[in-house]
Amino acid sequence: MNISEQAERLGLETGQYRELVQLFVENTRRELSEIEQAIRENNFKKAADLVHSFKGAAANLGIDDIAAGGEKLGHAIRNRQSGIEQTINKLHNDVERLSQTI
Amino acid sequence: MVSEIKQIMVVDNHPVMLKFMSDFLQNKGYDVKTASDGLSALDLLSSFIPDIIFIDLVMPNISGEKLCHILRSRKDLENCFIVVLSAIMAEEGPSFDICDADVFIAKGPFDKLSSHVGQVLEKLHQGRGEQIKGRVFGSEDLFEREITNELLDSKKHYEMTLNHMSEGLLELVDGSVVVFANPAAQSILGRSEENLLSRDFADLFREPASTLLREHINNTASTTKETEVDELLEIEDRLVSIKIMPVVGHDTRTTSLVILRDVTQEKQLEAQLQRAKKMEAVGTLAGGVAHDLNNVLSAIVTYPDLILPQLPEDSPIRRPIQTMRESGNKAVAIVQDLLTLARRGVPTKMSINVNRVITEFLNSPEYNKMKSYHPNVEVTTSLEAELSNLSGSPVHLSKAVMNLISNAVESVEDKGEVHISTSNVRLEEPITGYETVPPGNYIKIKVSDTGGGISSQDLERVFEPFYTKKKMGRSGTGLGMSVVWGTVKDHSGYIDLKSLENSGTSICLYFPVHAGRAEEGQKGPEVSQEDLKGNGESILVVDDVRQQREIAYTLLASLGYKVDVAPSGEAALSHITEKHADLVLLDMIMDPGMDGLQTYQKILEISPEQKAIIVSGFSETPRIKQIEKLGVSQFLKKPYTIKSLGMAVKKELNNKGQQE
Repeated sequence: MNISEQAERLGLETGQYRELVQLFVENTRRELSEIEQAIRENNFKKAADLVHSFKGAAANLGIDDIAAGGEKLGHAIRNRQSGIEQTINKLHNDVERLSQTI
Repeated sequence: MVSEIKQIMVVDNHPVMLKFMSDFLQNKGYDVKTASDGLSALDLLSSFIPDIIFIDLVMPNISGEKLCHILRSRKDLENCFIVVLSAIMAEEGPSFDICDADVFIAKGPFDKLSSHVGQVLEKLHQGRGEQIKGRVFGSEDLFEREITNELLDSKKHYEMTLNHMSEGLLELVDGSVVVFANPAAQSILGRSEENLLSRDFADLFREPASTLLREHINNTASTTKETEVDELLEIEDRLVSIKIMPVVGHDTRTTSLVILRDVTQEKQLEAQLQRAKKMEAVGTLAGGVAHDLNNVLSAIVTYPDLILPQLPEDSPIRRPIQTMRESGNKAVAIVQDLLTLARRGVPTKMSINVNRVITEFLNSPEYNKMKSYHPNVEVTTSLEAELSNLSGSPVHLSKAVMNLISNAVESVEDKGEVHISTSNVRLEEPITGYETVPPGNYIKIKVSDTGGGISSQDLERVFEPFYTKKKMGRSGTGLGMSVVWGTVKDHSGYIDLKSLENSGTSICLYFPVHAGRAEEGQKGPEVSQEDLKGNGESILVVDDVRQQREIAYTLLASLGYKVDVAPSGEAALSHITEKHADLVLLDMIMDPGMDGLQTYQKILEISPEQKAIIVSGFSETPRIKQIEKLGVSQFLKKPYTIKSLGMAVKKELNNKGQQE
């Protein structure tokens, strides 16, 4: 992802955008581990709410792959489908990759 | 609507969103404050009144929807423009009926979001907020998501349930702060929604209930187990049972659900039912005892009448025998009271004016004697001139009135007042007090005093027999209030009793109105033993108890009648077959063998015009009614005295000519 292009697309300055993404990365790392914890405790409501949180922020920031991953994860959690773990792992990787780009 | 906009608040649980919004708005020159959840927002609102507030819909603790609702109920925020920012709006479609916001902005990429926020701000600066009210900005930009219509449907379903359930439901966050109250909760707590939201729930109750409640709420939070507050708590004159359930959220702050049940009426009815049951049981017991006592007392009250005339004036045993008679009569009075309790004691009903009953008592020697013990008690009356009549027994009513007034006077320690009033009342609504008085037309008798009052524990039991606080022997049978209860119940009436310790008591009796003219009292002129003398008419005494036969025989013989006796119904029949009797004195309850009713029916087969007097310890039973239908008009209550027996016999014998 090109930070400055993305910032421009959203009408933000690059520095400002970088700051927001940094905040997003930190927050999402925490939220992803909380989601894993909630799923271990069978607290699916909590997990779904947390997914809703980072998914929304990803969409705000135009980080479409994470927003789409969140969508997929939310759906899987609501329907108690298999593959939740893999989706979370992929999201972890996406977040770390995003962290590298900034 | 807002024309000058300076202060803005943003409430969102996501730090990225908060940072974006505050940077964006601060760059435009606004004074911006942020809060990461509803509770912090409420805290902040105590010192910061924004012109616009942006609220996220999905937040822990207090959801955006609830926060909107709380804000809308606050007077100081009535000019505040509320904008809901949410991604979920697009999922659900615009649904304004679920939220009190002015405008909705669907969350999307920041460029779109900032443009929508900009549009809203511009409209508001132009003073054209009205034009955009209810609009949803940005829903067209969001990609189709799974439409959660099912979710919405179930939400509406829950809302309907919450709005119509009879239990009050409250949601508390952060300890005891109310963030939701359904209509039932509002009505039980006697407070409007705005008065409840964001208030501390435990603070609504008085101490010590408040502390108890707080402990329970904290316990529930720490143990995550549902608890029921073991006491019923009082709020605004209502009794409520409270159940607290923890709701495990994804937050360190615990939310609890509180279920309130108004048990005021339930408790009142329970107490009434218990009281009624107790009185019923006591009545049955008393009735049984009384019936046996009547027979036993007969000898004590009747023999002195026979012995005294035969004693010389200066006989040393004259006085003891008189005392014996007086004691016997007192015992008879107690038995009569007991019979009233047994609810078998109501004789034929007549139309009565209660005012007359009251004035008669206030002019009686009994009243004057009682009053002489309490010279400093002022008794006043205000009697309704056009008072309706009631249907009942004057003897019992005057006893009840007498007991009420005597108790009131005696309750005043030294100096004080007793007020007696009567009135016609029409109840449109039931009165729920000591008893529930249903709507209707009543004659109300109220006796109030400024005496010592009755403690709340005693209040439950004042109508129980022998539950007395009076000095023994001074007055009464210990049955005064029980008689009042029994009389009121026998007359299909109701009692309301209010009393506070040290500030007096007021008792109201409610009797149903009877359409009829009051009948005059039936007090005849005094009669002497000479007037009761017979002329050798033949009388057959039928009674299974030997002692009773002897008493009747002795009394009637001393009055100059020719008396025969029969120990059973069967014996009476064979007697009548062989020998004519001008009158049969027939005991109602005989065992074994035929009872009074059966005997009389058989006698009528032999002697169709046979005159008879029925004797019984009980006043009225269905069998006595039946025998009255057969033509027996005289009914004599045991124990009888020479006077009551003599008069009944005379009357019946004289009747004979009229009937033929």
